Amino acid sequence: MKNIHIVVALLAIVFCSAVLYSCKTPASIAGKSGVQLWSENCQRCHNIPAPTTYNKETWDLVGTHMGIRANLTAMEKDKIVEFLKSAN
Amino acid sequence: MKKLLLTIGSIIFAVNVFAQDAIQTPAQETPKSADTKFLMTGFGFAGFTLMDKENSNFGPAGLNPIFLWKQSEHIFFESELAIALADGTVKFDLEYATLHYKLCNYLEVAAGKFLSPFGIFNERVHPSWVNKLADNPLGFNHDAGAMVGPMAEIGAEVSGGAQTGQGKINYAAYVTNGPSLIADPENPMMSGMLMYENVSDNNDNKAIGGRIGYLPFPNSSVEIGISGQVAKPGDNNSIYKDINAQMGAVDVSFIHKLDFIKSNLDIKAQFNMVNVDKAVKYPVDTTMMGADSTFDNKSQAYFFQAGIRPAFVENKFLRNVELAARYSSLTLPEKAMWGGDYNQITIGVNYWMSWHSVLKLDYQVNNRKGMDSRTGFLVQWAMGF
Repeated sequence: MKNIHIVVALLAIVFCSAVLYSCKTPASIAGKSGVQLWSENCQRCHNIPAPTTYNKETWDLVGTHMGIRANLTAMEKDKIVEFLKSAN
Repeated sequence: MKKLLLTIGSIIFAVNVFAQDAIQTPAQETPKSADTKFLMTGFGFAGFTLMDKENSNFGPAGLNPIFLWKQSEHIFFESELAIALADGTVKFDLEYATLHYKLCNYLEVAAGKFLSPFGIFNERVHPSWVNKLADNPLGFNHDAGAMVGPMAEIGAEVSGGAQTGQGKINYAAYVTNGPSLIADPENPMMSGMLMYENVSDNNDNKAIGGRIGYLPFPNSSVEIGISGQVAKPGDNNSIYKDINAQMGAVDVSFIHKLDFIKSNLDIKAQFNMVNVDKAVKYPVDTTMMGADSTFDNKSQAYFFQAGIRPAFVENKFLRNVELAARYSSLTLPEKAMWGGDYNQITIGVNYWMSWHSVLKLDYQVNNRKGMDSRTGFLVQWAMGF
């Protein structure tokens, strides 16, 4: 039983790695703006906050915190935080 | 131990695989104190309950401050306290206290006490201003014996997210102290329960678990997740030391704009199950009728909730109103002294005073197999800050 769990874990890691490396991000996804990602991702859990809710420094912290909670991709998190800072 | 070493090896392997995209860290990245960013955020709530055959009551009320420190682009710390009034005293609890290190764009390492990536409720829905109903679903709270699966644990975790073509995945894997199995002859009423969030491990075995979430559509409107954990919860040198506990969860989340009624629809569901191997014999109170020392130790809990808010209508009052409904169910081992079969229906109206401040009015029906239904109202004012 122990070995099965280990094998399954290894296979899952290999599978995930293979999926990641076999898929290129399409231009339509890579070209998404921060405002679009902000509206799509924040509302998955809660109401969408206005950019004026926090200042620029604070958005950096909140963005990092929310990126972890929602397992956002690095690109999503960076673009959302940049948008919120720029619209502040 | 072998299992633990292999798991750590697997994690190192994964880190190497992902390392191509690693962010180059300067050899000496010593942040100045002025570069450290700090924020105290969090949420607070106050409630009122009016249930059948019970005195009406103001409460629960609580404050959950969240502390965030960002020392550099790589190092981050987050912690949440839960301060609540309970039985005339103030109760402090540490929801999580987690150090994070960003290894690369696809992977973060974390250590400390963290919210279990076991479904979506713990990590994403538990704050009272995010939860659309005034209380948690059955089986999704910290009550001993009525908790199916871990809410938070102490250990180490790797997690991240990545684009996969039009969709994306997110993932988390962790090693923790894991649950402990209660089999105390002096406390037979709790025999067979699993206790989570153990600061001191009761054995050498470490729990291993994780979650994979998949968002198939480019607009992130749908997420499907699978979680699992395996552990040996029995005390060292006890007859329970070889007992295994297997836990699993499936979660679904769906967000959609309904143009024809100018509303947002939010659906979330999660199913948790915990199976503990059959014990040779649990200590039981033999004076109690039906006490069984060898019961099947299997528990399940699930909830399904939907919320709809006409956020795009012109009427300012209406667009702040949200209707929410939830069905939840909890099945605990029938022959355990803490067993039972429960379900609950909650329907509510929320009024959003701001994007993170909500007044909730819920009507709830509680059913327990073999007993009369209990109905009542719950009111909660919750605010994120």
